[in-house]
Amino acid sequence: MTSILNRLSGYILGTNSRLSPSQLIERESKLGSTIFGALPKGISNRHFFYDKDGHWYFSQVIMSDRPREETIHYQIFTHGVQKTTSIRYLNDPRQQVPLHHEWLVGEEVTNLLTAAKIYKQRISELYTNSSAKRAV
Amino acid sequence: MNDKTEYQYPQTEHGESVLSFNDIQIAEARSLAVEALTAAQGERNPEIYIDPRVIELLAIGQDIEAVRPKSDYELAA
Repeated sequence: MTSILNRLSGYILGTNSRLSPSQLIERESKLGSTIFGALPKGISNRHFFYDKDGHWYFSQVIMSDRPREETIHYQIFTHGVQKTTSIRYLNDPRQQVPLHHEWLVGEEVTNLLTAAKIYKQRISELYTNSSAKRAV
Repeated sequence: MNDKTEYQYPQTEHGESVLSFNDIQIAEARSLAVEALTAAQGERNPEIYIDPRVIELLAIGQDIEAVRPKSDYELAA
């Protein structure tokens, strides 16, 4: 009964923090963006998240005379990691840089693995802490 | 009864076996052959080589999907 009242009061007061699975991934993405440290000058809206089925995304907006959003999509296969880069110019959405595909090699695989390990650790803590709170 | 299958290879004119391998020896030989083939493919074509880092990335993805809530969820503030 208490939890129902809490939930109702949350809706009425607008403080309900129940999130849908896609909203949870957005929250993970915010955590993921902090893995790479403070944003350098000229970079904003950084995101890094794991979607599902071996798909990872990294994106950021580069502010310049031609602001652009760069998105890197990593798809993990058993035989390698395919990297797809796309660029969208914010002032002129019609102007797109064609997609660029390549296989990830060398140190870049290690860097992605390191980021993925930290991401897993942080979101595990996020959900563990939340379930502990709910159990209290 | 011997549980190891003996593979008889061509015999000499005196009926002696020239070569004989048991199952364990064959399994070892196969394992070495697969290892050598994988390494050779890796050198020739990195896309075919099975990189342990990539396998770990796949495992991390599965772990994340396992820990992630499947329905609406309340996060700690």
